[in-house]
Amino acid sequence: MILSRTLTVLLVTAAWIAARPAATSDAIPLGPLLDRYAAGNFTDVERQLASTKTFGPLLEAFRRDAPAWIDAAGAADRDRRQLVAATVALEAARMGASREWKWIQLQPPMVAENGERYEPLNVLVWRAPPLLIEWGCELFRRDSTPRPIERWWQLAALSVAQRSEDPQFLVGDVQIGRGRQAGEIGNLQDEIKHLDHVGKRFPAEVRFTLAEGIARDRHWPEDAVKVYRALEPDPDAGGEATMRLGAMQMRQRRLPDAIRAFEKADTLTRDPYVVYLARFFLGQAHERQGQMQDAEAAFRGAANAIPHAQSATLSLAAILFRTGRRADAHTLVSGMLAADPQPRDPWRSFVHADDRFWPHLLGRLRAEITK
Amino acid sequence: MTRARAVLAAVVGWTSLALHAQTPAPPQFKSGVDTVVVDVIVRDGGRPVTGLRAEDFVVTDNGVRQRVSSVDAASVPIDLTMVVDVSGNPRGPWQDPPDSAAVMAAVDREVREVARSLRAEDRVRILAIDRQVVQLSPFRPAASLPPITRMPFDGLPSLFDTLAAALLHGTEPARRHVVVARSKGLDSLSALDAGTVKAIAERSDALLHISVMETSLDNEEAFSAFQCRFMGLCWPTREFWVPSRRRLIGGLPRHPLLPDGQLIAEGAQATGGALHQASLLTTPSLTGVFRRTMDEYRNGYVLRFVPEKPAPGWHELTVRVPSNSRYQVRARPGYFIEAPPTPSTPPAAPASTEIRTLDDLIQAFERMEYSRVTSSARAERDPLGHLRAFEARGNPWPAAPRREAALLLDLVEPALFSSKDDARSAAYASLDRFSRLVRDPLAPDVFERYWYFAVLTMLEGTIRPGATEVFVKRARDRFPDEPRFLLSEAIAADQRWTGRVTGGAAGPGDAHTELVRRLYGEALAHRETAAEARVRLAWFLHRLGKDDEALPLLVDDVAAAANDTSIAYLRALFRGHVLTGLQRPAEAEAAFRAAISIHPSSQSARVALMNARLLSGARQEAEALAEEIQKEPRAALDPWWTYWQGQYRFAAQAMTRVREIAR
Repeated sequence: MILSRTLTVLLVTAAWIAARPAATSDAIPLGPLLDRYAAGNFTDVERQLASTKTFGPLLEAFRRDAPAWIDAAGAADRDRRQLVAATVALEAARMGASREWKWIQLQPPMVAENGERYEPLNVLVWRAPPLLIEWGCELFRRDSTPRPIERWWQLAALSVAQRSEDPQFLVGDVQIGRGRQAGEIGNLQDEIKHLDHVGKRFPAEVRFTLAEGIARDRHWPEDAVKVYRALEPDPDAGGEATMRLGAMQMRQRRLPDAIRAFEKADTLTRDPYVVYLARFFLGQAHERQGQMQDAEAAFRGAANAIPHAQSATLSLAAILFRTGRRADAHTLVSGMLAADPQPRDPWRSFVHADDRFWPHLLGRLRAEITK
Repeated sequence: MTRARAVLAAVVGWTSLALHAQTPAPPQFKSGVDTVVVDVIVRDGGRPVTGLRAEDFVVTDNGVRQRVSSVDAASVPIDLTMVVDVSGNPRGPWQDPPDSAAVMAAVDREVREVARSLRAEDRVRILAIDRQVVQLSPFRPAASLPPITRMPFDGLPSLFDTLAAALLHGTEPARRHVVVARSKGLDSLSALDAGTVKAIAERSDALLHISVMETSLDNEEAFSAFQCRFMGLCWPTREFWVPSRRRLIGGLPRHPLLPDGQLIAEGAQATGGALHQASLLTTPSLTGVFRRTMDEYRNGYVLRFVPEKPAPGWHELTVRVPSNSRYQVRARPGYFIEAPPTPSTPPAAPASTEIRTLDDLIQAFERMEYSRVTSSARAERDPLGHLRAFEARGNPWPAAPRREAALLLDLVEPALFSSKDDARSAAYASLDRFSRLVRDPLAPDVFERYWYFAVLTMLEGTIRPGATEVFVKRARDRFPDEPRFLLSEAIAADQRWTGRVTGGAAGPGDAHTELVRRLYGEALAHRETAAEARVRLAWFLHRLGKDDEALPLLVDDVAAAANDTSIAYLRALFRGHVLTGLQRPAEAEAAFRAAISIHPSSQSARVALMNARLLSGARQEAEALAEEIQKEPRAALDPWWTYWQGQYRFAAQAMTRVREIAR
């Protein structure tokens, strides 16, 4: 049948694109790389990964060579070597997190022998970085009971995935049911749905629950609202969930609801990242309602939570400048530009969510490796 | 009356070959406080007109003619802010980005080309548009511009924020601020919108020119269209950020200004500058825009006047040269005077060294005068009011929130020890709230551990086991491996019955006995708590009348004695009492004497020894001891006096540790 033959050709083409070999200069000998990491030469490995242009060959090397490397030192060192391999894979994935993680390929319409026109759904092709995470995750999943360090690895994996800005890796096709023109995919068997795996292994971990809400925030807001509301009483994630709920409400132009949520979030946590965002959004909500004094106070509060963070500093400076306090505005902005190091602005990384924990999480993994 | 602070710019003869600026672009000069400074360029056809004097110009401000003075613009040094857009992948979507060194080298080349045309007295700074506003180089003489060695790129653009940051610069009165920006015409991440940038520009002292890289945008769109049509790659794979793309211009072929672009263009015009778009196949370059701006500016004039009617609001300007009707005089349409600033809060009085109010206390805490903070909090007559005021005030240190939790311990302590129910209830409520706020979002950490320890030591000190048990449970849920919390649970259980089975008095009941034995038994298994658990369990058994079981627990432990003399003292003291119970008076006396040698000024061991001597018939010696005890100053703390307060003796140490971590 023409239809199925064409589909096969397209899928083979897609697979070839995904798996095509990269330049030989990117071929990294995996064993020495893992040895160096296991010995604690992290910066060295980091530098090598940073200079890598394509991660396909590295993924292939992991699949081919890593199992033997993990087993090479015997059972006593197996767990540690497993962690080394999974962590290097994760670091490589993060290096590639700023690039496209996948292709969604539009398929041309097909005509069957009976003349019937058929428009196949799109084909999803993952690129190497998410598959590196999935490789590491699979490695851990072989143990039926998670080790404590796996939780830290999975939290780190989540932070990398959120940095990629690609919710499909976490929760599946966000265009499902919306048709080929919207980018809906047909090859559902290739979905990863990382949070499904992780959720089963760590059902009580609130960061993974919160991640479900964040991943659904834009495309499935009703689901996200359920997650955020359910998390509100949680002592660890309640503040952030409430703040994110408020941000959704603000996007939906429900400003009084949003303001209530931001004010509440500010009382539920002392996490400067969450407090900053709750106050920054509160300022924006007040600004939209023309309540400029309240907006100014909220932006000032945000800037107090993370001094020199740009979004609140500039929002505050703009109000000061427009109301005649030019010198104050100039001082704020010159301080902001001169800040060294420049603080991470929570608004700029709002969507990256747990990526803010990456340094801490990576530190835990590396400490475990050198223990 | 507010002192007017205003800016006026005017320009003449802005012509463009490759560019078609939206409006003429007058250079502009920084004003003084009362003086409006006006940049003017006069052209006769395409030729700049030079040699004009102040009296050749007629300037009206809201229709009122002004008296002006003038100077050549070329003599005023400039501060140039160059804004370069490095957001997005220069190679286009779905491509691997180029080497960062190559991107930096390209920007560096362009910046240096511009800097070469500046004079020695001019200064330049470079800002980059990317995910953040990035200052690649602060203002410095153009000749000493360092090479760009570190530059982010390939992020989402924060165009509006970067333009605002560029404009919000206070220029010295004798200098002129010029902003030349090059943008891809997209914004994704800015906190500010285009309307705010326009409002800032209208009030700014700077001259803003912005060019849009339409060719780059067109190439990207063409590339995307090709990818979609021939490769099937039609969708952005990053799904989180929408609607995040705010565009200044529309697509091919005419690139019309979209609403945001219109606002930015109006803002640039209001400064005397312009938004420049491509003509035919040419995109205006940073260097090209800069050179044109400078050529015009240096052939111009600076007019100054003191406004006759400096009322707040928009001031419409006209500038004419009436002596020659052929001259083209083009100026910015007006300038803005801000309304009087809202009176600011008077500066805070210098920090008082005396602690009278909650704010004094907070400031003293900030100055790390911890012992003063503790003693002031303890001396507070209304600890409930203090606590309520603290809660209502909010976190004084949002950027270092742990300090707040550390200070809370000082404020909560007197309330916990208060005889008033409402004060204690408020203290418990505060601790309850903060037990949530001290949590790290990922996992229990060292701060939370010490914070709980400090809380538990205080609660044990109040000898209200019900309250202690509530917080012990939480602490143990968070730190199941912490032996001190286990010991705290044991002590709280022990505190529920402080009696003694003697003279017919009833015991505590089997369940209680079993619980206390089990908890102390568990604490015995940990090195950190074994010595204290052993002593406390022994005393519990002694109170139950089980001296034979208690005695083996009270053997000397030299290592533990070195670490904690209180426990060493209590061990010796209790051994004396247990031996007395076992009718072994000589050994008991030896034990009491051992206790005295550990804590020579402690009263309890002396009293016990006095009783022992009295019972053994040494009345005179007993009386001498009694005399000695009464003469002893009361200052020395006897570990026995605080025995029932559990680990409260560690409260100060725990709080010190909490403060250290919070700092």
